[in-house]
Amino acid sequence: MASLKIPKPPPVAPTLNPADAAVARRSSLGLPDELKPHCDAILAGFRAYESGNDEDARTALAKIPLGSPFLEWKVLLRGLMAYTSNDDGRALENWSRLSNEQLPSQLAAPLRAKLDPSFRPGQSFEQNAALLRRAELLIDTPLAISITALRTEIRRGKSLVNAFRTAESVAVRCKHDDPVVFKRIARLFYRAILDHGEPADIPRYRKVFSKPSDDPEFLKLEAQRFEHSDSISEANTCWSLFERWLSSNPLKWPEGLVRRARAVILHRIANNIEEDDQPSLVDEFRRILSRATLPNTLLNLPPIAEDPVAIWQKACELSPEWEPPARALFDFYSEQKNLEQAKAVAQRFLAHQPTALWAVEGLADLFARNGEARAALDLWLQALRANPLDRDYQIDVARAYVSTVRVELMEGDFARAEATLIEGETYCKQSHPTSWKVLRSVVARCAKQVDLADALQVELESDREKLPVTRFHFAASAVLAKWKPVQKKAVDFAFAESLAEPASPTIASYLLVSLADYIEYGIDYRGRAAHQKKIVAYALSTAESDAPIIDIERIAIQLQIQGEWTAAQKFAAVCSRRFPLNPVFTMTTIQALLAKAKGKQPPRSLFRLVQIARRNIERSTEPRHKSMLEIVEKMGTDLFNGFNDFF
Amino acid sequence: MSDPYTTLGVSPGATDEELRQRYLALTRQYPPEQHPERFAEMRSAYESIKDLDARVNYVLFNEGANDTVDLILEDMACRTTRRRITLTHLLNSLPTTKR
Repeated sequence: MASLKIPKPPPVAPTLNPADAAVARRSSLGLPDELKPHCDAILAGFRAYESGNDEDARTALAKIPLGSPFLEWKVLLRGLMAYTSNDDGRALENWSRLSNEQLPSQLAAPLRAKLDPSFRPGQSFEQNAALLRRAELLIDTPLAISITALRTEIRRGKSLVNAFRTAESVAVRCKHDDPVVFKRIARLFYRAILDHGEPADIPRYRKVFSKPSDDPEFLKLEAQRFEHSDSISEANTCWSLFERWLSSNPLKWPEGLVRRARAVILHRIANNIEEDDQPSLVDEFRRILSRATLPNTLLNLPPIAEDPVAIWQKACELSPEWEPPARALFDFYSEQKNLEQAKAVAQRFLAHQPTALWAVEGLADLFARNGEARAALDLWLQALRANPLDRDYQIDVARAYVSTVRVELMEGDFARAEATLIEGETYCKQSHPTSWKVLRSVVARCAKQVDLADALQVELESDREKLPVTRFHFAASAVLAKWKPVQKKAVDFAFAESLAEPASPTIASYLLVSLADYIEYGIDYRGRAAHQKKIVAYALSTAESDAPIIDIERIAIQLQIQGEWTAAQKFAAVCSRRFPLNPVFTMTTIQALLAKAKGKQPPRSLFRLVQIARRNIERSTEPRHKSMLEIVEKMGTDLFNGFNDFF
Repeated sequence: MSDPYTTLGVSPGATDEELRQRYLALTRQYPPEQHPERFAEMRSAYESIKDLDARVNYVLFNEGANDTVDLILEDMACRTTRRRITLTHLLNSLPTTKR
């Protein structure tokens, strides 16, 4: 039986009836002779029950007749026997028949309060609290009582010193008797230290619970605590040591799990390095203070190498099918314009995950930029097969087809160019009809199919609205197809002539997009720079046009997308004078200034411009302007932080 | 929630497919309409280890994350045989002012 220490009560008060007083005294002395056997039966019943012999207890209780003053005690004991057998329904049924004026009812009250929620509304809050406390002392094992005390200590969110003191007694009780509970309590404390503990809690933990099997040197715990306090270098040192410990698979995990776990840790380290901006003075102080709490072993170790690329590479080797490090590495190499490495990363990943569309798209873009149009086309077709109804993929496929034809023209392979045109006809006629027809006409002319070439050219020229675009494509394709100078001169002249018409933002937009196709697919040809200059100048001239404002805004945005910052800034300057309340042109100026200042301190005039842009966005009623609010707010914050760091 | 492997009755080395099959078998045995609490527990256990990503997060960061003192006490109460409450303990538990 449990060694529960409950203080000895004072003698029973004389207000109890004789039956209750006798049972409370554990003696039938003083009772009338006819009641003594009843009292003895009750006491014998309790003794039998307490020793685990319910059968003998029932035999004893059978001697209590109806009408006996000891009947209440019989009902109480029957209820206790039902409770011990987990028959709460029968227990409560018995106890609900007890009279409130007699002692058995008071004795059963805590158990009723614990088991029967409908019993509680009959008492006040304080009475219920007192009853439940009594119930805990009666029902709970000493271990459960100790753990209950732990509840308030660990939940408080303050120092864990008292919680650890309480935990010592808990650990003594359950370490061998209930190792499952011991492990769970240990884990609760581990998490508590992580959430709101202090460094001194770790040796306390070790003393009470020993080392956790999955983090024996508390490296994982320390790493996360350092991350919480922005001490990234120390956090990474701890993570690195933890990863090294995991590499020997001390926990006997399945191989795949260990490798992935190590990759997860390494990826976290690399991300920490990437995201850790130059620390402010406050961060430095914090770092110095947190280093003061490092164990000596860590203090003596050099910081880990801060090359996220090498770390991501290692993570990819460990878990080549896992996306995050592969993607991080791909993005890194793409930003660095290291196309070969980026391609290698994407291809390695696709070998394990062939349906990873981000890799397919990323690789397609890389091939395109590198002038490998056919390779890009194959990848876009792969993406489209995975998502046949995706409109963006359909457009990408069409672009890739026309670009592949252009490359084949440049290589002088007219037969192949014709085959590619026919292969891509359906896609191209949906989204690139002008490009396709121009190329078809040029290829036909190269193949001496003059009638077809002429017919297509006449058809194209009849669309007066798109004439400048048509003539641009003819001018470019003539160079790609190595036409004779006199032919090239004619199409060039026609193109220049079409640009002499009053400028239209719609046409300017088509021209810019068409130009982008050549640039983004690395299709460089003699005269492209001149064409680019003409198109940008044409676009600039639309700033003074009477076209709808939304069309003029589109030109500003397109110039930004294509990185034509000087032109964008000029365009925005003209439009800002015409439309001073339009936020698009202010934002265009801001973006152009930022792009030009890359790597250097941006001009202070940007602050004023950001304020103007923000004010114009707030005043505008156009949803397309409102959608820029988040961008301008972030811009303001970044500028502010940038200046703070500088000064 | 106790250990998800224990809840589902699978070994820590179980594959994704083995876990899935076991989970489906348990949902047939304990359909949500008839065993809502058990089903919720099984569902939570399955979600926490259903694939390699989930298992790694579980073993590195999430094991015991949702455990509380109350849950531990509840599990203990379910596992242990109820103690027999003696007459002495009943009488000693009375508040002294009542006497």
